[in-house]
Amino acid sequence: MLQLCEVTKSFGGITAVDNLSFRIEKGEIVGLIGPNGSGKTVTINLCTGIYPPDSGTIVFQDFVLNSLKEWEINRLGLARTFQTIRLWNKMSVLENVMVGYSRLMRASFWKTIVRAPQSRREENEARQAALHALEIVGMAAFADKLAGDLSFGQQRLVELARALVTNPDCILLDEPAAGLKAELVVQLGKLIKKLNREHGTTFLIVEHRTQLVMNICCRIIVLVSGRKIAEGAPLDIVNNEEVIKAYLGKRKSSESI
Amino acid sequence: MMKMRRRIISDANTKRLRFYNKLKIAIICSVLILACLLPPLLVETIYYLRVIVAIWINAIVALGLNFCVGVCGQISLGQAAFVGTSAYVLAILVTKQGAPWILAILVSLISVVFLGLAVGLVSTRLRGPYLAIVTLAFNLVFVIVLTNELNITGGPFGIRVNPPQVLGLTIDVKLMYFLAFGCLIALYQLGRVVYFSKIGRGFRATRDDELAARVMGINTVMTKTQAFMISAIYAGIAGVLQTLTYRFIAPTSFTVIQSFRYLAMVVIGGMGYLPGSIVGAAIVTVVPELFRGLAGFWDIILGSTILAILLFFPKGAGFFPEYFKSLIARSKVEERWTGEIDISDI
Repeated sequence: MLQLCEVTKSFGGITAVDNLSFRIEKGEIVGLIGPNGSGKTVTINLCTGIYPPDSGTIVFQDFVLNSLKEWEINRLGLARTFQTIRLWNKMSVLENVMVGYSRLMRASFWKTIVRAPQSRREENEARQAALHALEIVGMAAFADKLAGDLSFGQQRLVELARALVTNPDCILLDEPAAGLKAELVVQLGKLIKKLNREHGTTFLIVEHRTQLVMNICCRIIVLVSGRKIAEGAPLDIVNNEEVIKAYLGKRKSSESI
Repeated sequence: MMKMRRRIISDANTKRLRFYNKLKIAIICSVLILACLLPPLLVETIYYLRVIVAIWINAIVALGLNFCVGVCGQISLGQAAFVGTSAYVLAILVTKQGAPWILAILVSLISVVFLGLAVGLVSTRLRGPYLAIVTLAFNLVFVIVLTNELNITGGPFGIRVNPPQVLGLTIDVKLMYFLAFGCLIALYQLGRVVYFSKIGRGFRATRDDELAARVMGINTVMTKTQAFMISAIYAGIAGVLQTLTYRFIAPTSFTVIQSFRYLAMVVIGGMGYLPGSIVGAAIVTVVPELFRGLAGFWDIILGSTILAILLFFPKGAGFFPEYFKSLIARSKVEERWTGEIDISDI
C-alpha cells in the first residue's frame, strides 16, 4: 500500500532520512519508533508531500508521490495528524472536521456559490460524516465549540476525527498519544484497532510511548539517525540487541517495557 | 431515565430558543432594511443621499476585501485599482465607443474578474508582506497609467459621462440609492452563503493554518485565487455603481490612499466579520463628510477615530452588539455560572 524505496532527505548538512526503505501492506498497523531526531516526523512529512525527497521514490497505491502536492496526496486517500496540534482554532469543531471531508466534495466554485442541488447534498453529507467521525472519537457533544477552546487531549481527538472523516485508506499518526492521560491512551489504542478491524484502515504510528506501539502494532520499524536499524514483530524488537543499544540505552531498561 | 427525559426537554428548549433567536434576528434585520429604504423618500437634499449611496458602494468593496484579507488572510492593498478598472472600462466604453450601458457594464465586470484572476495567481506565489507590496505596486502602476494615458483615460481630468440610461430609464440619485442598496443586500447574502460553504471553510482554514489546510486536501493555490476573484467581483460591481452614481471619474478616486481606506473599513468593522464591513464602511465614509469644513485636517480626525475604535473595540466595531451584551451580562456573571454548570452532564 505505502512503499518507501531508498528515500533520502537532508536539510543543509544534516541527513534526516538516510536511504530508508520499507513497505506497509493493506490493513496493517505499523509502528515507527526511534529516539528524538531520528527522522520519524520527517518520514511522515515526506509521505504527505510537505517536502519532496532528495532521492528515492515513495509509492502509495501505484501512485508515485514524489512530485505531488499535499492536497493531491490527501485526495488519493492518505490522511495524517500532526505532532503539534494543527487545528483551525477560530473555526468550530464541526467545521474543522468538515474541512477534512473536502476531498470528497466535487461541486464546482459556481455550483457552490449558487447552492446548486449537488452542493447542498455534499454539504449535508459532509455534516453527517463529520458528526459521525466526532461520535467515533467521542467528541460529538463539542461540535459547536470553537476548536481553540478545547483542552489539549480533546484537540488531539478532534484531529483524529478530521483525519478519519473520509474513511481514508491509510492514516499516518504523528505521536497521537503525546500529552494524553494514561486512560485516554488505552482508549486511543482500542479506537485505532477498531477502525483497523471495521474499515480495514492502514495505520502508520509514530510514537514515543512504547506502551501504545507494543500493544497495537503488528510490526515495528526502528529508526536511528535516519537509518532503519530493525524491523519486525514487537517482541523481536524488544529483544533486538541493536535496538536496545541504540534506542533504550542500557541493557537493564529493556525489562521495564 | 430521568437524565434521558431531561435531555429531551432541554432539546425542545434549545429548539424553541433557536427559533426565537432566529425570529428576533429576522425582525431586527427587516426593521433595519426598511429603515435604510426610507431616506430617499424623506430626504430631498441630493448631497445626503449621495453620502449614503457612497456608504453602500464602499460597503460592497469592503465586503469583497474582507473575503481576501479577513477571511482568507491574503493582504491586498490594491483594492481601489479593481474598483477603478471597472469604473474606467465602463466610462470609456460608453463615452468613447458609444456602447450600450448593459453591454458596457457586462464587459467591465468581466474585465475585472480576469484582473482578479491575474492578481490571484500572483498571490499564490507570495506571502505576507511581499504580497502586500505587489498589490500596492499594482495599484500605483494603475494610477500612473490612468494619469498618463491622456487619449484613453482623459488623464488627471478624468471622464465625464452622460446621465446613464438603462432600458429607456434615466438613472438619477434616488434610483441609484435603491440599486446600490439592493446590490449590497444581495452581495451580503451571497457573502454569507460563500462564508459557510466549503469555499468559505477553505478560506478560513488557509488563513488559520495553511500547511494544515493543504495536508487536509484544500488546494490552497485555487483557494487564494478564488478569494482574489471574489474580492475583484465585489469591487467591480462597486466600480460600476460608482460610475453610474457620480457620472464623473478621476484617478484621484482610485489611489493607494483609497485602498488603505477600504482596508481601514475592514479592520474597523472586524477582520473576517462580514456585517462589520458595512459598519466600517459607514464610519469611514461618514466621518470625513462630517468634518469636511476642516479641509486638510479631516484625515487627522479619521485617523484618531480609527485609533479610538480599535482601542475600545479591538475585535472591530462590527462586534458592537456583542460588547453591549457582554456589558449587561457582566453584572449577572455569577448567576449565569451556577445556572449553566450541571455536574451530572460532565
